[in-house]
Formats: sequence, structure tokens, C-alpha cells
Amino acid sequence: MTALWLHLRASRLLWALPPLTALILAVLLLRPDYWVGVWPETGAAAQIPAIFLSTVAAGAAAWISTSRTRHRLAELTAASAIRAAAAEAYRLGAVVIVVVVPYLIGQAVAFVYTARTFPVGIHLWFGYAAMGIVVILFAAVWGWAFGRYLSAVYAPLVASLTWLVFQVFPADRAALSVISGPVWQQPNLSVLAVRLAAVAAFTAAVMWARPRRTQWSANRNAPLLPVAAGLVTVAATLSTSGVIDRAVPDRSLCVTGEIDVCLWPEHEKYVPMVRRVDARVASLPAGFQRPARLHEYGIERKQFSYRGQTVTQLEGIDISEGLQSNLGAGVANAVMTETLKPCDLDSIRQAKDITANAVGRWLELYLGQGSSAEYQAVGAPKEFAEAWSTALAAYTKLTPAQQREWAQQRLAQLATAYCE
Amino acid sequence: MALLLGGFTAWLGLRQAPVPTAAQDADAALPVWRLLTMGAGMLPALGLHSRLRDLEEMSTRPHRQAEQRYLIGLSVACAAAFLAFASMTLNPAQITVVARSLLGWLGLSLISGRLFGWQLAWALPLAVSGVLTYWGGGAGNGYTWWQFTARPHNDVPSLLLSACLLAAGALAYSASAWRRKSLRCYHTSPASQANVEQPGIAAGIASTPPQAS
Repeated sequence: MTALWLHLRASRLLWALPPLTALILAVLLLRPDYWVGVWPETGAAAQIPAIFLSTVAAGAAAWISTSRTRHRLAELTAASAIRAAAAEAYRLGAVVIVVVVPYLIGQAVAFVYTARTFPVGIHLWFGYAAMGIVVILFAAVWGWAFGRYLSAVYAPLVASLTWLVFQVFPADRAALSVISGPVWQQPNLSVLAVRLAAVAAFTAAVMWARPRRTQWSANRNAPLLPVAAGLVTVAATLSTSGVIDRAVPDRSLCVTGEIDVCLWPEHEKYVPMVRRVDARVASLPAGFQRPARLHEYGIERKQFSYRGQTVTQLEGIDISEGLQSNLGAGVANAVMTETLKPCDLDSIRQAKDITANAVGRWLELYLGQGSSAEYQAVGAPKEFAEAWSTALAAYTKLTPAQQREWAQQRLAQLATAYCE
Repeated sequence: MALLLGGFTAWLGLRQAPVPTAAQDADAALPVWRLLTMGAGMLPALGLHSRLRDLEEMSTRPHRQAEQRYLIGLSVACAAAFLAFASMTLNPAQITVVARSLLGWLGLSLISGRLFGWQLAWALPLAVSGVLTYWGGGAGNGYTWWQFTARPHNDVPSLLLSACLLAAGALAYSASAWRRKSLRCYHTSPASQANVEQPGIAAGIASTPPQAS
């Protein structure tokens, strides 16, 4: 412990602690704050800095790893009484601590933000926090291995660049790290444990392998063991997935109203938003039909068979980014489907009648209260663009009462033309 | 090295990967060629590292000139090799963006090298790339004006920014130990200047002589 502390105190990397911590907090706080109040999103949001930190860890580990040859101490350390592997481990440990401490500070700050309301599902936060640590440890050993066998000039560059490419490209599919933690997914703890074990084995292999040969030793072995361990770790990472779909919750959080909306229990903070939209639904004019109950994405599942396999598809309204417009669009979609049930949709399509689309789009805006960046009909057929601009004009230029009258008239037109 | 990076760019450069950004609703994707361009842009500054750096700080004009020629030659060679390989798969607009960001990365790595030592020339570009990726905007709302590695090929602010970074890098490169020392001497009080020999002449630098008080 004393040796580790000495290494840490002597490390120039300590100077990187304050800027790294500042960077982590900036990454966490200078972004949309929909993660506050939802544990899985909190863990994932504070895990994002690990993506950047791990790149720093790879470069810094490669840099520190080469310090022995840079300062021409290879001969001296090779002849020292202390075991070479232990000496290496202390140095690597110091690097890891310097990188992990800012990460943990970030996670702690995120924890405090969400702990103020303390919703259910804290185990999901823990899983994402652990995921970030695995990423950082893997990157540090990755960089250390490069520093061991490449020259000091190129090792950090190669280590950080290869790590960055590995991380954002192949490892992304395996969810080595995530960029959001939607509530219908959870970190796969057993996979994380396997990865951690693989990284530990990789670390041991790199530590125990003889350092690059010194002038006097006859060790000309190729770094077979570290390379093999590294490849095994990469394979263990790429062949597994860090996140899995969660099981349907035993009791979902159902908000009763004009339309009952059932949420994930972790999404307690969205209840006021659901009530707001429900109040808008209640104010809709006659003619709109309401479904009895809607579900949030992932609570409803549909199973069908595709090429002989049973596929489970998640369904429902996705409000994971906390936008009322997303909820509004989902509810509007369900209301329009219900309303147009008795109508002949094919003849509406053939007549290229934009009325139904215009009313649907207006309903999205009306229920979502236009609360976010509007998505646009890019690349959509001309009828869509026309319907959407009609709806937007109605929504922005008329008073709410006039809008409801406008919608009611359009619905009446549709009913007489296409519906039974 | 540049050939290797260029080769990788030709091979994998067009793949895209989702990256975290601060923007909401943005399906931000980072093509691999942007990352590899950063690597290629840092190489010349890394090449300035020398085991005899203490000795070289004492050097005079011929060595400095040789080093400058080496830096320029290396930059041109790296850029040419990288672009040649990259152009096998990237389209002309993307190649223009690559060439533009090479200027910026070179400038940044020169600044970083001057600040932390040439072996650490990769540190500042890496940090900047994180900032650019995270806060530089994404697919939905376009990129911010300072995201010089991703804006369209005919974007004037990005070109200016890259050129400024390169100029700043050149300035940092020219701020050798001798020059910094001589500047510091001119800034001391007139009374102490009497004892100072003219270091500018010794270093072979054309700079304005101290003002007679």
C-alpha cells in the first residue's frame, strides 16, 4: 500500500486530476438533464465520461508504461530486488487510480442529483457505474500493453487511437459502453463479471510477461502470452452484449385518466407529464375516440415467428428522453387509430386526402404542446409535407378553442366521406 | 505510419459509429476516417521528438533550419501519403474535409508538443477531439461553427479556424527556449537590461532591439 501511495504521489499524472474532474462534470452537467430522477439513465449519463476517460487512460497508461525506457532505467529496474511484476502493477495501479477517481466523482454527483427524489431501480444505476469501471480498466491495460512493446513516441498515439476506434466501432455493438440507459434495458451483470475477469487475466498476463529485453538479458521471447490474453479479452467482449432487455415489470405504474397510461415503475417522475397530456386529451372535441389503455415502450410485447424463430418485439410509447412531444405523438397516434377504425383507410389513401394526416399531426402538436424541436417531413411524400404544414398553421395561428373547432370540422368531413 | 493510417482509412474509414453527444434528439455518428485523420495530423509533431533535445535547445540557425525543413517535409509527406490512401474510398468532398482538418490537428499537436514536450504532442488533440465530438453538435441540428473536422467541405469558418490553429501551432513551434528567454529579458525593467547581453543575436533571431530608455 505504501508503495502504491509513493507511486501515486510521485506521478505527474496527479496534475491531470483537477482538469479531468472538471471535464467529467462538464460532460455530465452540460447536456440535457432528462437523466435526473431516473436511475438507469443516471448511471448511463455518468458512464458516458468513461468513454472519453478510457481513451485518456489508454494514452496515459502507454505513456507511463514507457517511462522506464524513456528514462533509461530498464537495466536498473531489471536488476532490482523487488519482483518486476509487482513493480509494474504498482505503476499501472497509480494510473488507474488517477483515471478512476474523476469517474467516481462524476458518478457520485449524478447519484446525488437523482437521490433527491430517490425513485425505485437503484440496482440499474449500480450496473451502469460498474460498466464504466470495466471500460476504464480494459483501456488502461490495453494502453499499458502497447507501451510495453512500442517506442515511447508512438505507443500513446497508437494505444489511444486504436482504443478509440475499437470502442466506438466494434465494441459498440457489444455494448462495451452505452450512450443512454433506457428503462427497458439493463446492464448484464454476468457479462460484466466475465469481462472483468478477462481484463484481470489480461492484466496479469501483461504484468508477468518479461519486459522488453535489456541489453544484458537473453530474453528474446515474443510477447505471446499478453497478445493471446488481449485477444481473448477482445473476443470475450465482442461475443457478449453488455445490456439486455428487461423482463416486463410485475406491477407497472398506471396513471388513470381519460386514457390509462402504464409506465415503468422507474419512470415515476413522468407522472405529472402524463397527467398534463391526459388533461389535453380530456379537452378534445367530440369525434375523437380514445383507447382505454396505453403502455410505455417495453411493457407491451408482441411475439411472432419469423423464419421459424420466435421473435419478441417491444411495443409502446417511448418517452425515455422525457419529452412531452414524444408522449403526445404516441397518444395522438393511438387516438387517431381508434378514431379512424370504422373508416375505409384504403380509399383515403387512394384519394390522396390529406385531411386525416393533417388532423393527426395537429393532434400530436396539441397533445405534445410543441414542447421540443419539431421533426420535419424530410424525404416524405408531398402530401405529408402539405398535411403537416396545414396542421402547423392551424396549431400556431388559431386559439385553442378555434383549433378544436377546426379539428372537429375536419373529422366530420372525414366521417361523411369515408366512414360508416 | 501515415501509410498505415491511410490504409486503415481506405479500409474502414466509411464505417460510422454512434457516439455520445450533448445534443438531444441527435443521431450523432462518427465516421472512423475522422478519428484516423487526427492520428495522421499528429504524426509530424511527434516526429520532432529527439533524444538529444537538451543539446538541441542550444542549437543555432543551421540546425533550426534543418529542423524546420524536416517538419515541413514530414508534414507534406504524411499528408500526401494519408490523402492518397484515403482517396481510394473517400469522395472528393470528404477528402477536402480531411485535408482541412489535417491543418488544424497539426497546429494543435504543435501547440501541445511545445507545452508538454514533443512526445506528448498527442495529448491536446485527443482532448480537443473529445470536446468536438461531444459538444460539436450532430446530425439533427448540424455542427457548431467550431467543429472544424466535420463541417461541410466548403465551409469558410472551419477553413479559417483550421488555418488559425495551424498558425498558432507554427507560432508555438517557433517559440523555442531561446526566443522565450530573449522575450523575457526585454520585458524586465530597464535598469536590469544593462546587464543583459543581446541574446537575440546569439540565437540568430531577427527581433527588435530593446528600446533605449
